[in-house]
Amino acid sequence: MYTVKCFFVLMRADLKSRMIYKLSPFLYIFGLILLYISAFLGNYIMLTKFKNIDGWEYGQIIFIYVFCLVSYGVRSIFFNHFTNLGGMILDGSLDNILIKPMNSFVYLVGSHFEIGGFSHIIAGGIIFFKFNHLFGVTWNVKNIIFYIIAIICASLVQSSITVIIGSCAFFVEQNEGLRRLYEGFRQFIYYPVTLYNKYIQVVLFCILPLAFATFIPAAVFLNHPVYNIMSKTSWLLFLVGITGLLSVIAVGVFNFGLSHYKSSGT
Amino acid sequence: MMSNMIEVEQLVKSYKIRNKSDESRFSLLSKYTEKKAVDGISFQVKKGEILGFIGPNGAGKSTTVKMLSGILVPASGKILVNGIVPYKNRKKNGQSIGVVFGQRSQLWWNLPVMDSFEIVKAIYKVSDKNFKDNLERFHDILNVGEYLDIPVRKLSLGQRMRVEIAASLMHNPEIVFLDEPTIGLDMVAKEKINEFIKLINQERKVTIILTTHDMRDIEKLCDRILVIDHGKTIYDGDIETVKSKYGKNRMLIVDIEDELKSFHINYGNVIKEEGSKKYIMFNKEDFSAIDMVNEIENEYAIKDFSLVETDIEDIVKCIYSEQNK
Repeated sequence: MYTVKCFFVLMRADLKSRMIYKLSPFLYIFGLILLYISAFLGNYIMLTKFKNIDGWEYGQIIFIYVFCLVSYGVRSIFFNHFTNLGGMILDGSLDNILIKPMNSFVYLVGSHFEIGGFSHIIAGGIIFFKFNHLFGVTWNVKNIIFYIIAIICASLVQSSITVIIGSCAFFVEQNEGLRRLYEGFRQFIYYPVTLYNKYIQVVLFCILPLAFATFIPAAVFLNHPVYNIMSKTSWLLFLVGITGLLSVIAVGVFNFGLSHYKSSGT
Repeated sequence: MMSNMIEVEQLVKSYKIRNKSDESRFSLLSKYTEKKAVDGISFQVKKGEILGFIGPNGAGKSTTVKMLSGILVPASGKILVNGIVPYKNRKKNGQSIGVVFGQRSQLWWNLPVMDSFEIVKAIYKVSDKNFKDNLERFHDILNVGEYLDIPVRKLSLGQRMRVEIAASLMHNPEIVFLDEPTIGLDMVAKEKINEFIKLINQERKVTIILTTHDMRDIEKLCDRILVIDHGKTIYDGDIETVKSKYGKNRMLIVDIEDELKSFHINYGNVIKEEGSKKYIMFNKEDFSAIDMVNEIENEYAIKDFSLVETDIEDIVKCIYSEQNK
């Protein structure tokens, strides 16, 4: 209860301090929306030329694209700051958090929101409603619930990976390289992962399990034949399990990193 | 009730540095050397005491303060802060201490001062009554009430530091660590901060560990000082002894014409030689600077000279060189 209250007090303060510069945050979000929409339009023009790529219709590819945008947006709002842990260690602002009588992980999330994440979600929303007719999905109650759960799982997978990569800063002085690597591989999951060669697939399924964030839930949702080995419900349970596991690992890595910092820093 | 608020015994903290030698630069398994930032420090602080914790930059002060506040885990040794082992019980320790880092703000930069106080109130579970009483009290002494509505970024450094200290005391901590609270402040602001620290210490019997490079802060506030260098204690005792011994020290810097001559002087203590520049520490009650200059002038040709008040660094150097003799 105490932790939840503190979380909201911090969240309110952080959002308030961002809104101090009245217009700027809105222009920032608006600018990013334009950026993502225009990037999408470039792809869209290409997609309409092909209609079908390796068994994927272009409506389905757009569906995956939206899935990726929205889950990345949620991840950005809450966990983007973990990519900056290295900087916080160097300038000592992490120490300010460690002297507080509350959970450091919760403090970090609560006190640093990245409002830029809203732009991903809004851009995703716009594309979603504009191209809904191409997805071939009937939006009944069951599908809507599945979709919401899948989006939450996808966001948590993206977030977990971010936290794990960010926490590497506790062990190495510079984790900027790792972060860039993640940003690079993240670009792959805007499209069906089966389009890529084996090596990239191995990375996306096993090493940086980004495929679980977007491709698998989207493909199952779209009834893609590759995923007909299990029922939709089984897949959903499988996803929830994987997401839970990754989240536990992420918090574990963060805590382990923190204790490493505490025993090795000066 | 225990009388020692802080007990530190044989505290050691080391870190690894990568060897930068030529052979290991290209090897993946680079070799590390252990360097001790804190090397066997022991001390106690009684309830209500203000301890001046001094030493040159890199002496291990911050590392010690970080261990006391539970940020870092010691390599070995014992720490007890208000009966709590800080690194084992970081959150509980956090509740009973207040920390101010002079060079790093804990306030919310863009928000009015009051918002920072409110956040402290929530995180430290300060009751409405305590919060109100403290606000009034801090306003009486520091006039913080005047800038409650002003964003922190618009405060002057002196005003900000007052708010910083007030925020660290909002949850009535029993122990406060003040890490260079007067750094960069002008004389008037320093004075104000020092008065506040003294008053709070007397009113609430708060135990304070103060690190500073300003001898005047130490003289105003501390009954006792702990001097460390290279991670080791080099002096622990009352301030009067140090003051009478070194506080009246002055440093005479002379630049002599001839570099090759070996330099020797009957008065004072040559603590540093930089080519033709000689740094001589002396007690102003024992000798006068004029006499010294005259004496030096008899044997050497003086190009230039200047007289400066000694600061903590010089005093530490002086104590250190005496220890090593």
